This record gives sequence, structure tokens and C-alpha cells, in this order.
Amino acid sequence: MPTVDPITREVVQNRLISIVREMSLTLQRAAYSPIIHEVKDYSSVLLRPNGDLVAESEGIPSFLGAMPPTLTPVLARYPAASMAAGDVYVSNDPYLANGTHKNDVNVLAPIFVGERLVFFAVTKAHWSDIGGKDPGSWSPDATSTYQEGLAIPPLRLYRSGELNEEVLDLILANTREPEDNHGDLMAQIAACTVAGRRTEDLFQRYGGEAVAGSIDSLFDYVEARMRAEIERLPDGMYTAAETIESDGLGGPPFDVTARVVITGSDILCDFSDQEPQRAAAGANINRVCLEAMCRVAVKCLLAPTLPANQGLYRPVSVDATVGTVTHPRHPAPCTTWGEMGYAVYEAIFAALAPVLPDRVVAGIFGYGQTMAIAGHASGHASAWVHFMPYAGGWGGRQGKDGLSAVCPLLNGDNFNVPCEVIEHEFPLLVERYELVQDSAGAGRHRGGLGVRTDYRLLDGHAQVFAAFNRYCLPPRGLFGGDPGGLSALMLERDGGGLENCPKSAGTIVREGGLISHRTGGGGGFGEPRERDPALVRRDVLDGYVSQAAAASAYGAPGAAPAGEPA
Amino acid sequence: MRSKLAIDIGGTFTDVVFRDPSGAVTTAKVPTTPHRIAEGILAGMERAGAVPSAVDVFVHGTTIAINALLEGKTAPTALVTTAGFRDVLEIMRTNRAHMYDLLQEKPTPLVPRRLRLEVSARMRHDGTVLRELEPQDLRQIADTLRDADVASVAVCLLHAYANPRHEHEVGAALGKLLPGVAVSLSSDLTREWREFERTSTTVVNAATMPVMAEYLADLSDELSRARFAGRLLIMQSNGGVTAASDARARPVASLMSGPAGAVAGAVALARVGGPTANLVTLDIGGTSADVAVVDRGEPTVRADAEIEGWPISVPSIDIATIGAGGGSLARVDAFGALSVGPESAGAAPGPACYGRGGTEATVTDAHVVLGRIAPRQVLGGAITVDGEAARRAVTASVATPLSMSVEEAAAGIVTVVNSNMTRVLWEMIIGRGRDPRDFTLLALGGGGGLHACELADGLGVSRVMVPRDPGAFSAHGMLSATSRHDFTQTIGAGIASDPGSIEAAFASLVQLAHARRAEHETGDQNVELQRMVELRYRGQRRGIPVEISPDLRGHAMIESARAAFEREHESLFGFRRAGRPIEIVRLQLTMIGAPSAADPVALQPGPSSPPDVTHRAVQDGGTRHNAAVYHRDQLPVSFAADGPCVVEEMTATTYVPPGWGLRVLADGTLQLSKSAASIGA
Repeated sequence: MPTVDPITREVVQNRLISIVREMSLTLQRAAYSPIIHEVKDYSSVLLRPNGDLVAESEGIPSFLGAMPPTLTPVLARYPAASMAAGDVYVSNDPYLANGTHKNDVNVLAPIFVGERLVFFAVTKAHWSDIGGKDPGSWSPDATSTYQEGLAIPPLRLYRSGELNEEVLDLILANTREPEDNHGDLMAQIAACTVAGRRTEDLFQRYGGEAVAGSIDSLFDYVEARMRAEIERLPDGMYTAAETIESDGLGGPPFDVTARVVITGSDILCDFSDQEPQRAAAGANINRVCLEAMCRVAVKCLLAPTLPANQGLYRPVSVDATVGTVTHPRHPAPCTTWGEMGYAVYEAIFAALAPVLPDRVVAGIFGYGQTMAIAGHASGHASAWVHFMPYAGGWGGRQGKDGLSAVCPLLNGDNFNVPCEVIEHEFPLLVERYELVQDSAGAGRHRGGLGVRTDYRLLDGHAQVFAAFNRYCLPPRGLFGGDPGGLSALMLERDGGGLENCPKSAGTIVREGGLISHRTGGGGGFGEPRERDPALVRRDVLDGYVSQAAAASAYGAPGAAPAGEPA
Repeated sequence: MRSKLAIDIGGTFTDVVFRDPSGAVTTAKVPTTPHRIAEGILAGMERAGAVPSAVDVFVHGTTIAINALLEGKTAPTALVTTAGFRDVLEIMRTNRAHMYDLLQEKPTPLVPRRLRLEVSARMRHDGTVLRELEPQDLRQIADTLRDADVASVAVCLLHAYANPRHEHEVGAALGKLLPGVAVSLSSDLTREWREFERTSTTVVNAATMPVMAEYLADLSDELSRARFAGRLLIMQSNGGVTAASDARARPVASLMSGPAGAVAGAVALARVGGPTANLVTLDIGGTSADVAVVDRGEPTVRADAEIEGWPISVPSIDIATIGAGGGSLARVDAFGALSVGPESAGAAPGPACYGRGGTEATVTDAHVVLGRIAPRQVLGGAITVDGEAARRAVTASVATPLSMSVEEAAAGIVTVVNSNMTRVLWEMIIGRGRDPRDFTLLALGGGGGLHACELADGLGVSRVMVPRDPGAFSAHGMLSATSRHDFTQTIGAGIASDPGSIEAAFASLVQLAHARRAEHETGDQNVELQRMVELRYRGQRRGIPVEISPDLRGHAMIESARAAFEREHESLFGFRRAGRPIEIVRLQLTMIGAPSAADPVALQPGPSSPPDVTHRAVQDGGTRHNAAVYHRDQLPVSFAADGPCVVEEMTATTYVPPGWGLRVLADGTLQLSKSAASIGA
């Protein structure tokens, strides 16, 4: 391995980060699907031709480690020697292309410096629709992946800069929003193009050898720091299980069990002993997403600020058994894998809590409680879809209460859609958008609060699609803390009253009906009776906790003494 | 000519620039007196020879409001909002900026939940009323707030940007019911959608308004006692000035007062045109560096800013700040990685070479080791630079752990901090779809000139300018700033819609502008009105702002905007979408005071005799050079020299590396450019 001085290495690292950030900037600004530019549901990376992750821009955590595997199937079909500058490859399938879910479309472009293939620029972005049985390609009741949208195996979209229009037409003919998705695709390609130009500049300035040496050295550096963190943990096997309440199709609840094995400076996330896969979308997580979740959990606990590159992955291995819910075979449905992803990282956090009490967080409200409202205005043929991630309460932490109203772990730097924007774009009136009193798990450090969003449908009718979790089993408390509050989706159906429909496959709500989306709060951390009474009193004054709940959970009056303003 | 005074209050020093009626400029630097700001101001005026009674215009850059925010010393504040939405301030946008950090915090709301009160009135997105205001809501709110003894109330109701009537009614009622309590209405501050951003803006305004009002009242008193009878203007975040009475009502618009002054100065330079029309400013201080872009003579103004996690929806100069300055600490971790900043040695203990107890290597220490800063007295004798202390620190912090020579380590520190700054400079320029090669780097602050040429090399920029007195450039910029007021309006209309409605919306913004001008006099004889529309293809979330010329009306106006939008879209993203419907999202009207003929910085007659030259060893690229060292005050106009050389002045140092040359321009600016031999090398 060539040795590189630490100064050149720092400079090259800055340049690499600049490149992936510029990719994301380009992609975000030019994309059409709101979920890309507003919600940042995308990722941009540079990979070496062998698939090693060189640099990643921050998009959302679900993609950590999910990008490198996309390259293998592309190279299996189109050997590197057959590639040329100006080629662009596209794929999405969770099985045929090592994709995440079908909405996440991968665009891969080889970068040549002179004759040499040096990197692949890869972007993944969530398209607003990719076909399938339901609008938004989001079907929590799917029984097979064929219902979840168009499968794109690795395909060459551009050959030496020349577009294969047949491929493009086939893809766009299968989405409900071809114009938007065409824009998204162009934006992804523009991001890869910019990476190519900047990479050439980088190699010209520093030379191939210094760049390669720097990257090797950066991998080694990140690996060394990661190993040092793992080594501080006592060797052993740490086990915890998280329960999946429902697979979305009425199957019985089941456990996802994490066995985390620490051996010296290696960490194994063993998920080999699981339930058989199910023909139910809520029950499966494909292998690529499982690995991404394990990496996310380990990075959050051990190295939140380290740059993500291949070195981060070297000490982390993941085991799973083919044919089970954590490594299903084709054609098990797996688009709505978020619930399984939640179970995977929550189980890892719980397993490692005893040895990392200062790093873990008690139970998080859920995996997203995502909801799509697909509306049909009266007198209009065209439909509209309102889809956004929802925020809730996070668990308490050592020394700190949990955060209220933030998106789930996998969504990262995701923004809500403002109520004022929602009302402009859809025939919905947002009647309230507020924190839910008493939703937080009590604890020495209580959980954060969940959020209630009430929509009144103003016109026509709408179908509501949702697949909540933590609607009957609450987010866990840690070290004696109470569990957090449950999530609920209260729908006003035809003529009836409000009904909780946490798994809703197209429930119809008519004009004037209410859609009340309520996320739970986070679990508490530590014994509630150890909570600072001044904080209990503040919580009551501010209405985060009711007086009754304060009395029962904290055993303290919690109320303002008579005469003080409440 | 009117006499004009500009004062920029920094954390440590207050910069004073005074231009007397003859056009002669004097400057002074005095210590900031944090608890008695006015005292420092009067001392500075005296030092600069500005007799208060002879000052016609006083432009003030103030950090009062932002310091109150940073130090958590805002006034007790309440929020009145739409029923069902009192938690918008706390829910924020639900994002987590640090996605792997389980221990991160959200900022604590400036209004506790118990003081966030609701009214049942409800506006629709199109400005129609769903529910009218209930008078008893307001009486109850007034009772609660009276008991809670708040000093200020923010009012932000849903869709008030589309119809502010309910806010006006709430404001008028609370004004009567709660005399002495300041009231901020969101619709007076911004007419843009996105309820959290508007609420945050209004709350920050309300929470800082009493602090600002008290400060300005004190200052006015002190100035009157000293017989100042001129006009007091405040530098705003948008790069223009406004009347003190306006800044008192809208402190949220002047939070970035200081850094905006530097950009105002850059704009004055850029408007001269030619090679300086496109500038990227780099202001390097002790702990951080500010970067801003002036594009084709115009400052880069963004629709919002963020301070301490709180978005501020008022047009503000786009300034990026990075933790890279003279005091940035160089550290090697246990795994052999060198990092520089963002941790800083700050003012205390400061760099090791200042001999005030610092032992860790800083960027300044690295410059001393490399010979770019001389071991001698600086800042008029306030500090003595200890060369040996610098070497010891760089050796211990970096050279020993990395097994390098002390010179290699020092060069490494500078390279790494430059690389960090390059990333930000790069993103600021290419983020606008522009090419760095079309820009001149304007080096400001004590350290800008030490890094500028190397940064320029990294960016492909071939020219650097170092203005006179770069350490006090913000104050100079304030002297040249004109008034500026921005009025924005979210609309969200299809472009095919009636151009009449766009014209009507502009007309009401024009009304607001004239009302502001009448109420808060800035003394401008003439103002110019600029119209801008922000467009997007249907389905896109973010728009692109384009200017429309004042004489266009009706469909010609719309067509011109569409054409400009499509051009800009193509230049930013490389494609346009023929046939895709286009929407107008937002209008902006900007009222700018016309620069008076006297405002450009007056030329200073330079010395006519050749400068003294000394020489000292400077390390560059692993080579030891015998570099010429000049004192800036001695450089005559048109003086030229090749690098490597060093130009020293009271508060700044400029380093010209090999391959670069310097030339003194007519106004005293140092122009540094790649020498002919090295271009294309």
C-alpha cells in the first residue's frame, strides 16, 4: 500500500466530500418528486470499481451501506471492460439489483480518468411513484413484490452518452407520474455527470497514486477508530428482541431477535435465527436493508461523527438466513420494510444498552407511521397524493430527556411538509398540529412527545394508506423508565365515528371526514421517581404531562402550589 | 458633502471610520466596552476625530440583538397563534440535522409552552376567512399575559401572508389591552408561507425587540448629550441600512449587521465593475471565517437565514461561516489524523505565540513558524509574537506526533485549514451554478491576506484583492451602504393566470414600501424599486428568483420572467422542461437608496517615495525563500513586486507566494495576481 502523508489525505478527503455534496446539491435542486427535494430521500456516493464506499453525502441514514451492493449486479451483467465514459446504468429491484425498495431508483455512472475506470458515481432517489397496485407504489398489504411496482434489473440507459430511449419509455410508461420521474432521473444523471468532472479535476491535481493512497489510508483510519470503539466493549453475546405487532395481513405477531457478538474489535450482528419469510409486506426486510440497518445502529452507537467509508464496514458483519424475514427470497414483498428496519435497530440498541448506557436511546415512537392520502376531487379525473414522513417522540437518554417531534431514525434530516403548503396543494384543512399530552414515557429522563396532525377532507373522497407500528405495543423504556405512548390513526369513515386504523390499505374517507394521525412518544430512561421534581413541575405547567399522569408516574404532586399561575 | 460615521461593534474591538465633509477618511480601533457600549462609541468617535455635533449620518453595526439570542438573554415573550398550532414553534421542521447522533438536542423554544396562546380565528390558504376572531379570546389572552408579566408578544396566525387582517386585529386589541408590551406581527415581518419559519421569525423579533429598544434609547440619549443631531442608521442583514426607528421595530432584520457591512463594502467595489464585478469575500478572524458572494455586482441575498437553529424569514446576505481562523487549533488524534478547527484557542489563551498561556498549536503559530508572521510586536504593541513559543507548540501538537519537521507540520496546518475553507468557498460559488474562475477573491480580516493566494490557487481563481484596512472593512462597507428594504409575498399562482393579479400584488408591495419610507426616514433623495419573481416548474418545491425590468407590464412581464427562468434553470441544472407548466411562487420588491456620488470610498493619496524593504526567511512548498517584507503604509500607488513577499499593516498581514505578484491600485487596494509565467503552469 502506498503511504500518503496525512496532510494530502485530509485535502483529498475534503475534495471527496465536496464531490458527493455537490452531487446531492445538484440532485436535490433539480429533482421533481417532493420527497426528494423536500424530504431529502436520496443519497449520493462514490464507489470504487470493486464496490468499496469512497465517500457518502448525508441524505438519509437508511441508505448507509445500501449503496455499494447496487454495483455488483450491474457489473455481473455489464463487465467493467465493456463500459465506456458516458454510460449510465439504472436499476431498482430489491432482489435482481440489490435495491432497497422499488421507489428507490439507482443511477450508476462509471467515471473514467483517461482510459482508467476509477470510480462509479451512484445516486439513489425515492421516486414518487414506480407503478404497482397502489398510488405512490406503497402497498403495506402487498403479498408479492410484483404488486409493489416495476422491477428494473440493471439496465444500460446510456451507452457512451447515447440514450436508449426504449428503456426510458418502458420505465416511464410504468409510473403514474412520468413527468416528475423523468425530471428525477435527469437530476440523478446530472449529479453523476458533475461527479465525473470533479473527479477528473481531483486526479489531475493530485495524481492517481496519491488519490488512491489517500483513499486506502482513509479507509484504514476509519477502520482503526471503529475498532478502537468496539474493543472498549467487553467480549460476549448481547441479545434482545423486538416484537413486530402485525405483518399487515393479519398474521400473528413475531419477534425479531438481535444477537450482537463482540469479539475483540469485531462486531457481528447475528440475525440468523428468525421467522420464515411471509407473503406480507410488513414482515420482510431484504438483505441489503438489513445490513444497512445494522450499520446505522452500530454507527449511531459507536461512531456518529466518523465519515462513512468502507473502513467503517470492515469490522461489522451481518448474518442472516435465506428464506427468513430478514433475508427473504424473491418474490416476498418488501417495499414497506421500515417496520422491520425499526425492529432491527431497536433490538441492537436494547441488546447493547447494558454496555453502552451513555450512548443508547430508549424506545423511539415508531419507524415513521407513514401515511399516504390519495384523493379524488369531485368532478376531476386526476388524483392527488399527500405523502410525508411523520415525527414523534424519541426515547430518553442518559442525562437528557428524549426529543419531541422529530422524524424517526431512518429519516434523518427529513423535513415535514408545512401545513400552509399542504393546504395550498391539497383539498385538506389541517385542524391541528400539536404535541400529544402524556404521550411520553415517564423516567428520570422522560421520553419526547408525539404529534397529532388532524386533516379534514374538503372535497371528494380519499383513500388512506398507512402501516403503523407501535400501535399496540409501546416503545420500550430503559433502565426502569416507562414505555412511551402508542401511535394511532383515527379515521372518520362513512357516516361512522372515529375508528383506529393503524394498518389501513385504502380506507375511504369522504368529504368532511377527519383523518387524525397521532404518533406516540418515546420511552423513559431511568426510574421515574428519580426525576428532578422541578422538571416534573415544569412539565405540568407547560402541559406536557397532565397533573394526574404526573401524580401516578412520578408520585409527586407535580402541580403548581396554590396561587402560582398555571 | 455630508459627514458620515460608521461604527462596527465587534466582540473585542470597535471599528470606527469617519469621513469628514471634505471627504477625508480617518479610522480608529478601540476596545469594545460590552456593558457600556455607548461609552466605547463615544471614545471611538473622539479617537477618529469625529465631533458628534458635526456628524450628519451615523451608520451603526450592532450585535445587541444577536448577542441577546446567543447568550439566552432575550425578553420574556409570549406567542399568540391559531388554535391547534401552538406547538409549531417546538415541532419545528422535524428534521434531525445530525442524522447519526442520538444525543443531539433541539433548541429550547424562546417562548415556553404555557405562554403560547391560541385564538380560534382561522384563515384559509387563499386569504378567505373560515372563522372570525372572537373578542373574548383576546381578553383572556390579555389577562393571562398581564399575570405572566411578559415584555413582548409575537403574533403569528396561519396564512397571515395571504391575508393579515386577523393579525392586525389581534395586534390592535393587544396594543390597547396591554399598554407597554411590544407586539410583533408576522405579517409586518414577512409575507411568506411555511408556518414554522414565520413563527420563528416573529418570535425572534419579539424576544429581541425590548433589548434592542432599550439599547437604542440609551444610545440616542448618550448621543444627544454629546450633541449629536444627525441621522442614526442601522446596518441590516440584507446589506442595506435603515432608520433606527425601523430597526427598533424589526430587530430580526439586523441580526447579521456586522458581517453584512463587509458585503456592503464588497458590493460598492463590485459596482465599479470590471474585474471586481464578481467577488467572493473571505473574512478571516480569530475563530472563524465568513464567506459571501457578490455576483455581477449584486450581493447574494437569500430569502432566509438561520441563527442558533431558528430560521429567520427575512432576506439576508448569504454568509457562510466556518470554524477556521487564526486561533483554530491544530490537533493530531490517536490515529494520526490532523485536524484544524473548529475548536479555537479564542481570545484567551489565544495562539501559543501570544504568550498568554496557550500551548496548543494554532493557525497563527503555523504562520509564525513559516515566517509569514514576524515575531515582533503587533496590534500597536498590545501583543508580542514569540517565535520560539510558536515552534514549540507546532512541534508538540503536530510535528512530533506525525514525525515531521516543524516546518512541514506548519505547512500542513495551513494546507489543511485552507482545504476546509476551500470546501465552503467552492460550495458558495458552485452552489449558485457559477464558475470560480469568473471570480476575484476579496481578502478581509486580519487573516484573509495570509490565505487568499493559496485558496485562489485551489479554486482556480486568478486574482485576489486586499482592500485598505482589511481588518475594519465592515465599518468601511457601512460607510458606503445605501438603504435597502425587501418586501416579499408568497403567491403560488400558475403563470398563465391573469398578469393583472401579479401586478396588483406588486402594487400592494409598493404601497408597503412607500409607507415604510414615509414612516422611517433614511434621508435618501432617490430610491429605486426592483421587482423580482420566483418561478418554478409545477411540482418543484424550490423556485428560482429572476428580476423583471421595471418598465414591463402585463403579458410582456410574464414572458420576460419565463424566459429568464428557463435560462437560469438551464444554467443551474443543465436542462429545461419545454411545455411544463410554470408557477410563480413568490414576489419580491426591493427598495434601494441610490448611492450618492460621495459614497464610493475616497481615494487616499499614497506616499510618493519608494518603500523600505527588509527581508526574512519564509517557507513555502518545502523551500526556504528570502522574502521581501513591506509596510503597507509605505507602498506608493502602482508599486509592484513579485512573490514571495509579505505586506504588513497594523491589523493584518498579506502573504504573496512565489508565482504571484502584487500591485498597488489607485485607491490603495493590493491586487494580487498569478504572475504571467505561472499561469497555465
